[in-house]
Amino acid sequence: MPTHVRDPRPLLPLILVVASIGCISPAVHKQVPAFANAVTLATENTKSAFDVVEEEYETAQTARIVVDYDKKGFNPDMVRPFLLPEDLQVRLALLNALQEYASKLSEVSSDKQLNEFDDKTRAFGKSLEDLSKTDAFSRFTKNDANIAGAAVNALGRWFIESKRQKQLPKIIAEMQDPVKKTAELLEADIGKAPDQAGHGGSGLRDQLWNTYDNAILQQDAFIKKYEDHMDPLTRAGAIRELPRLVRQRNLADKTLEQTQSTLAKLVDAHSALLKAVVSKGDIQSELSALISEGQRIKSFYDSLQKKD
Amino acid sequence: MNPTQQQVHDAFDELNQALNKAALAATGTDQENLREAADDVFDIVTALNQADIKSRTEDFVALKTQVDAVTKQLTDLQKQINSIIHDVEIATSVVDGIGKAVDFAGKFFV
Repeated sequence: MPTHVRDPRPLLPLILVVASIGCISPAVHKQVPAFANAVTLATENTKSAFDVVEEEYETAQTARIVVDYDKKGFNPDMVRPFLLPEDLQVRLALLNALQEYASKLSEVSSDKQLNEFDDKTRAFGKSLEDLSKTDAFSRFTKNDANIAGAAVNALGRWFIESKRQKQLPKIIAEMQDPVKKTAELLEADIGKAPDQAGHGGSGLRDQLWNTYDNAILQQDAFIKKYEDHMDPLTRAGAIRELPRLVRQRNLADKTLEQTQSTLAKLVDAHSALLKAVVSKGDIQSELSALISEGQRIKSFYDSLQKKD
Repeated sequence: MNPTQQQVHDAFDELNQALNKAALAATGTDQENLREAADDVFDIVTALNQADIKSRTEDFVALKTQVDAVTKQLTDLQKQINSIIHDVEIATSVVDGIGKAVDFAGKFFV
């Protein structure tokens, strides 16, 4: 006997099954982009930190070559990078790998695949409906086809959600330690500027601070060496460069310090993500998940009905 | 007791600052000599910083292997979900095939 249902009530048991597994928490949807943004920020800032140190090192080196030229001439060996390319590449490769992780995580936790699945099951429902129009399947009505389509959609979504629910918390938990260690290592690379007594300096900040001091020294030596050959305006311009370098040194150090704080935020964002993905949620959010899943199946079912 | 790496670093940083200040205050040959000494100490501090950064390079390599392994799990999960989507595609083409076969058989056998 053909079934003449106009609503998705026959699908209620399926809705309950689907809702019992629930969707990945909405908090996860919120935290994944926050983490992806934190990764992008940390990556870009860290790359800039290495770039700025390299550029300033090059500038100071050139200034020294200029001041010493009369005495030492030029030798290509005087031009050296601060960091060996392999040391830099390894760091950039890790940052790129982190970006790849964040981007995959966004893809897997987003609704993109679920929407694609809805489109495919909609096409499946349409094929069933077409089949119901043939004589051989005349007992199989359009409504039966729609219910079957909606049922496949609900079950498929259940499979997809259960896979995500089972595997995402494990994957994100496994990533917690590498994210923390990456941030710690990069923070150590960035290091600290030396204090007034020249103590406690390390890493890129120490190097940058000393590089600027060295550039100031070369500029001062250049002025003193050639001041008799400079007109007053050129001399004034050369002297103005000295306080500018001091201000730039302080500003550049501040920027590196802020980069360290973006790395700390990266760890916080991943911890928040882990917390969101493992949280069971309260009864109210489970109820709203049940209601929203019921509404979703109904609108999916309606979308099949509207195809006439 | 041997000094720590940081103590060695601090000693050269302190010397670097002192020589910089002295060179800025001096003129003529004095300044040239002090600046050359400051440049040499700056090169030593640079070498210490380079070595410090290099000492972590291996840790970065090991971490990348771990990150890649976790990302592979995400790729596998994505593939599993895609295969569910693909299964529905196959089911649709099977149903379409049945429809066409029934239609064709109807025309052929009647």
